[in-house]
Amino acid sequence: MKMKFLKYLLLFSAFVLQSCNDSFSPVGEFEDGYSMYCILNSSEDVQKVYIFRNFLPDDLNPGNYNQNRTIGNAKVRLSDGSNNFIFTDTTLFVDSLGYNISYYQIKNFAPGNSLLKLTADIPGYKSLTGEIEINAVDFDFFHRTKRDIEYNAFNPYRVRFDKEISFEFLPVFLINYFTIENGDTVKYSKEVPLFYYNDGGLFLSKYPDFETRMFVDYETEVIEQTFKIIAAEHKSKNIKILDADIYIIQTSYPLNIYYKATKTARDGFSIKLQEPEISNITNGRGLFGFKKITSLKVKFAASWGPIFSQLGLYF
Amino acid sequence: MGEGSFLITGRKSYNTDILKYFFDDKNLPINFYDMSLGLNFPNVFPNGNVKIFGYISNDILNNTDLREADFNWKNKLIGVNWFQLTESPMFVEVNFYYSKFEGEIEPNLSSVRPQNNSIDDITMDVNLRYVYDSKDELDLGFKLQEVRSKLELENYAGVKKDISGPKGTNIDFYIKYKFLQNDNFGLDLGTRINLTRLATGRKGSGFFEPRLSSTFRYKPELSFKWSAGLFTQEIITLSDEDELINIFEPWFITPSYLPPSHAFHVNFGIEYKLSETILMEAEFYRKNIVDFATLNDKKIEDSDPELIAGNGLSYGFEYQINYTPFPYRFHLGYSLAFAEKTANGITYSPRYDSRNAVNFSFEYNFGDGWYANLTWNYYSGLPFTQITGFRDKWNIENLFLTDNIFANLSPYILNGQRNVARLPDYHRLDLSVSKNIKFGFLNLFIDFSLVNLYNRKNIFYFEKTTGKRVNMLPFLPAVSIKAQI
Repeated sequence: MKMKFLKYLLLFSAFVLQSCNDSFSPVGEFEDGYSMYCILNSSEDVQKVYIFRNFLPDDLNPGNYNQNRTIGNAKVRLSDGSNNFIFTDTTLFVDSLGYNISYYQIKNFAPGNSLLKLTADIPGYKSLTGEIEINAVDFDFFHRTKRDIEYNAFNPYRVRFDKEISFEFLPVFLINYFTIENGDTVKYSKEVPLFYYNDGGLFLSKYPDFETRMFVDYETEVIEQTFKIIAAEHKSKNIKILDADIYIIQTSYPLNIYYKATKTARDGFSIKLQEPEISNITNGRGLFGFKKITSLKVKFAASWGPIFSQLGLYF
Repeated sequence: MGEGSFLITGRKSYNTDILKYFFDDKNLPINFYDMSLGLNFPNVFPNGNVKIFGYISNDILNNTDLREADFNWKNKLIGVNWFQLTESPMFVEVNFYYSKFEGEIEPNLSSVRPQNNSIDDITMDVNLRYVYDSKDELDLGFKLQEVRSKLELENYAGVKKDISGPKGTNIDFYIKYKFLQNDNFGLDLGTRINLTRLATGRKGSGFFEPRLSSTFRYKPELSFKWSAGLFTQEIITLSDEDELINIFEPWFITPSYLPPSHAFHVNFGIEYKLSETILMEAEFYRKNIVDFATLNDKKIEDSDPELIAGNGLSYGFEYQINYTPFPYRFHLGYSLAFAEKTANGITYSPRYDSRNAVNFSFEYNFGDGWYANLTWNYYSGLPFTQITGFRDKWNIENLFLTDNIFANLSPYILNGQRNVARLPDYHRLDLSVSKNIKFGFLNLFIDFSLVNLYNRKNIFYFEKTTGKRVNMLPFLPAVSIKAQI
């Protein structure tokens, strides 16, 4: 009797519990919002604003979602406190995407003040806004920095300015050269790092970052090592060293942090899959920023001749 | 070495095709083996016993779909235990063992990052117990441990780096005095003394770990217990809390830039014997954890630490009742638990915060070597972070090229509030019937079991990039035969 009761209890339990298999959805309530991007470039005549709508593919695979997420018909304006600058709604067919995308542009924008506010009124949605302060330093390069880069084992090549002030910038030092490949001239550029280092048998480079400083030094041995790498990468080819470009990049906050976080996620080592979210857009996400790039072209002095000869490079 | 005994067990999955019948014609990508060894030498020393033990296992999750990651876990353990009773009377126990854990993620074409993790552990500990005439006891011991951990990550350029703490050595002593001379009251007082630690962060702290526990027997059938103590954790595991379900959680020594986490435990319990066959136990606990290692989800610069120190709190109640009228045995356990973690200014439920748990088992001894066992386990759903959509993120890797945004867009997962949603509850009913047969020197155990009797679809993991859900074992009849010589 007891066994019979237990048998029925077991069958009943199994039936009841079988019927309560609950489904699982990893998806919460869709965050129907927008991302706005605009990086004002002081050296360009045309400034652009892009607005994208969030999306949710049915199969949770964003790679399979090939629909236009750009938003047209928004009213986009930039204000410097005194004037409003209206952006033009533009449509463009992008081959790689296979559909028309929308963006907004304005030509010959010249703000009168340093505090700028970008506003996008999206029909049927709140306005997205972003504010930045443009306080880039105007400078000229120090006269010694403009001279040809000498081979000097004791003194680095110093990138310095006519103003003795500290400001945040990202320096980029590119060596320009070309090789003859199958009769064609191919131009290359190679960035010079701050230093090279060995990490557990790996030969790595440390490039400069956004930092507040008055100058930046490039050691001669690091420049020489970069030439060695160039020679090794194009063995048995004629390599002609043209010159070098020095770029000083200044950005508004938080574009500097946004750039760093992206770089860290790409070059760094993290268990986390996604970098932190950095945004200065109210009522949405994205980024409003400003960049100013100041450049200088310099040549390599004849004192590099013996090194070039050793490496098979020529001026 | 005289008389002795041995036990060797082993399992190996060699063909998972049979599981197709239970998985709607889909093959489960799991492959495993394990093997254990136990050698017992009771007469090596007078009044002494020596055991040698070993274990190896390998679990492989090898997906055929290249869009999914593959996982591999390996364990090895070998050790010796020597237990000796002296005439003093003093008990001496010496353990020496080596263990190694290895885990690896092969991402294939999935979004999962490659990881290579290992922990090498060589430990020797000596434990002495002296029993006084008054029945009081003095416990003394020391441990020498060397652990080497590796957690190798890879960045987008394919460069690898080990982010774990370096090799660590732990030398610690403990002393505990047990006041047992009173039949109704017992008190244990002791401390662990850490001379060196595996985790080298915040040197000079955490030298003592005092611990206290006590029992008061109010009546023969009713007793009260309480305890408090400080505990240190130097080897940690962690995962990305924003991942949906993470089945790969690396282990490593707390890096030197962080102090090891400490927890202060307080427990209070009651034990009540209702009759000779019914025993009830209840316990309340609270644990405050400081310097709880947590992933830094605000890592901006490459030089920013991968881990930061957070705080944690857990508290709860556990209850169990055992009813054992021969030939039956009933067990019912229930726990109610709460946990929270605070890091980077955010407080959330940690990944393993299961609120309710129920364990039920019923055993019946039919006699003549026949046994039946029914178990049911229930755990309320674990927290997870829901996906609320995707957005196009502009990856500004080159500040010169900011004109063509479409060349540098990638999907960025939008997460809901951290760990606010709950996975489905886990529950499973297993039934087994076993028979013990003796053939001379051979002792055979034949076991027939029905795993997941009502075919509950308990979730194992979920692949975000493909939207694929993989469940744990479905209803599965199984037969096992064990032979003991």
